Amino acid sequence: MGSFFILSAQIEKPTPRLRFSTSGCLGYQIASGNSNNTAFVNQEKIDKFTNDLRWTKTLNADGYYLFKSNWGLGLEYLLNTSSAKGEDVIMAADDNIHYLVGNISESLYINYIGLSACSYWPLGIDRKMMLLFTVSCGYAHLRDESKILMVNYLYTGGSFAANYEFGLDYSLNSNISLGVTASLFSGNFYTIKVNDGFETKKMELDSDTRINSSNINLGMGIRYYIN
Amino acid sequence: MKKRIPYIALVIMLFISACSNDFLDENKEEIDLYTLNVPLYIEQTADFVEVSITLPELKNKSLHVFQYPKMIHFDSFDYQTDETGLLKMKIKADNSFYLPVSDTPYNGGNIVLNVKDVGFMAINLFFVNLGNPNLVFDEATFAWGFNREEKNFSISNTIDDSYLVYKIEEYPDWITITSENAIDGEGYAILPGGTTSSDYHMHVNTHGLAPGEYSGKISIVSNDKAHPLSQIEVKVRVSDPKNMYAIEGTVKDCEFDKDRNILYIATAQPDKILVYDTDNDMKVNNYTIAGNIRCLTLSENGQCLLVGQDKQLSVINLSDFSEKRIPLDIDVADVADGANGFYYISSYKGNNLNGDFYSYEISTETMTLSHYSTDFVEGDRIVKVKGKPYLFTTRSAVTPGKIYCIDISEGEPKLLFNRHEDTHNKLWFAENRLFTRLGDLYTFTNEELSDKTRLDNLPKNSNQITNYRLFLGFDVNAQTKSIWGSGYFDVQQVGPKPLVFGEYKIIEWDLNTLEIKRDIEPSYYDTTYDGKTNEYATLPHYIFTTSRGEKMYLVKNIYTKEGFEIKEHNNWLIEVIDLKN
Repeated sequence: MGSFFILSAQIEKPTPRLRFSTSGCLGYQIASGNSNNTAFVNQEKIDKFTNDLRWTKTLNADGYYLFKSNWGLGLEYLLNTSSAKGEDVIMAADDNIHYLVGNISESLYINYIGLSACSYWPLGIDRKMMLLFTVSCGYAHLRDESKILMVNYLYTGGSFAANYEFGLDYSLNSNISLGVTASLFSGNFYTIKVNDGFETKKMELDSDTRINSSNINLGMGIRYYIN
Repeated sequence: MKKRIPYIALVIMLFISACSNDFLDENKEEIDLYTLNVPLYIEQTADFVEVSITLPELKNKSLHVFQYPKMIHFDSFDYQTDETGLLKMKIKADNSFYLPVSDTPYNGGNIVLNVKDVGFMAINLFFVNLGNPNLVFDEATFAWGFNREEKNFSISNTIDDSYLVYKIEEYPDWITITSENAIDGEGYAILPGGTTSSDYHMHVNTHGLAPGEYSGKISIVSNDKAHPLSQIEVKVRVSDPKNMYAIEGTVKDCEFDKDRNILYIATAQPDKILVYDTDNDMKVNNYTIAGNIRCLTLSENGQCLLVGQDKQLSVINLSDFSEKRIPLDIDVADVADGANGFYYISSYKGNNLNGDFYSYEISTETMTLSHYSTDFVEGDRIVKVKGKPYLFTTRSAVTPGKIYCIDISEGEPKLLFNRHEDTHNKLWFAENRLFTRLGDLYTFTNEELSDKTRLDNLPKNSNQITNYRLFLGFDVNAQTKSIWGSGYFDVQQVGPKPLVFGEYKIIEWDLNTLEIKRDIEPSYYDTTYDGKTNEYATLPHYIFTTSRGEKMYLVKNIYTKEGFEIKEHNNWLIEVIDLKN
């Protein structure tokens, strides 16, 4: 009996109580904005600019308390960024007589924090692999630093957002695992503030002009388990 | 845990700095904007054209186009000024809008350039449609010999529905160009197509230039698309001051001994006779003579000079410069050696009065006045037919003028005939030819000069030289078979080409055919007059050629023009011209 118990202990890896993970992801915004702005003359530069902006980089950190019944609760934080630059972009001036030539740039930051629930399934005889699926809902904050020709703008906003993630961990030892994830972040901003350094204006956006920051990501990271 | 604090702090600082709004402060920075005060004009073109602007204060600066009118296209948005501030841009205006032909430019907006480290610079841009003008000169080559007279050219535009915009961009510094109607010195001139033209006046000043020939081009840039650069060739010769000999005082008269190639010049203040040995490097002797000199005549044998003065005739023996003074009751206007024991003298009675004619017998020292009763002779100016016993005289103060032909074979003058001819009070006789100041030429045969009964037909040539008039001097050279005349022409005369009023020329005709062989423009004289050192035009009062015809001697005075009037100034010189070239 005693030997059986010992054997049983070797086979049944104990379920960890806490799981902390951090991941770096590359992503792509699934929502395409309207880049066909008639104000711009050299549209190809604008197309490239908007395309560059859709490629995102995400830093993800979360922590869960894992229950024995294969689910857990926790918090999730992610920082999603993207940026783009365009040189010698030509755009029509307001006087309808001139064109303006200059550089444009944009840096987009979305900070998200939300409550998250996860479901996990240890895999294999030695249970070295673990499959996870998480769903989180929370608050996303938009910070968009843009420069059009000579003028800088700061767009900020907040919105309800959600993140869905599917991951696979591989245990290196009893505490450390490596993980890969595929995730979908979903967030739309309907109210933003525009600051040009002189004043801040609040703008209400409709369904056509809303900022859709939804993106899909693939990433990998490291997980720390505490039993 | 303590070891992790710096890392945590670093992360927090990075996060804070990442969220900083300082970049918005750039919007509050003041931008310097300069506006160029010279607008840029551009036409609609299919190809890029280079426009250039010089910005002396922006040397070696990078510029970037920030704003431009929609119709404009650049080959690049980045430019650079050179070390002189010259900015060259290649731009074109498309034809996306209709612009009618007009000389009124259409304000097309501004090009704004972002000048690195300086600010923004705006250039006002105007669109113009000037059509397709065609620039035409009336003359494309001008040459000044030694002449410095004004020459003119005109620019016209032959295409009706167009406007010629042009600028005289470059020309030699020895030319000045003036115009009354179409040039402001620095900017562009505009000339509508059709009948109008713009006249330009060229003046040459070669003061200070070394002797030699100079050539250059007057460059005119324009919007004539076929000939954006048109050029007028200009040439000038600068005389060699080594060939100029200043004369002190006022020249009163000259003689030239062709047998010995010796030039005699009588001057006043000081009253002197200058003797130049032209065969001996212009070695000069001077002889002081008392009394107001009025005329100088070389005796027929070349051994004496007859110097007509007030109340006196001086006879200077050239072998030893001994002087014999003959006191007279008259002021001598002119004198001739009859080579027959008589001198023939005219009196000076005033500028508007005819002088009387006298004969002076040397041996008896008796003066005889020509009488109205028999063989009346007048004549302020007297010339002797060399080797023949004839005189020709002409009167000055009565019009019409007359030519008197006088037989002196017997000493006492006997009138052969007189003829009303406008001589303008000056005669020359050489090589069987009689010349008047007005350029009339009478050619005698040896037979005529040997038979006094045949002289009176006064064979007047109708030939080219009568087309020139107001001659200052004549010279005939038998060796080169040339007639030389220093002439003063007016605008009414027609010669090989129209001559400008008041233009002086020295012309060589063939002695027999009277065809023009060449013309020489009198050189300017670089001298100081009235405190001003400059090039002055010269008036060749006397003209002589050496016996072999290889050199010419001009005795000249400087003058200036005041309107159409010529004003002589007392600054005489001899110019030696090499005729072999």
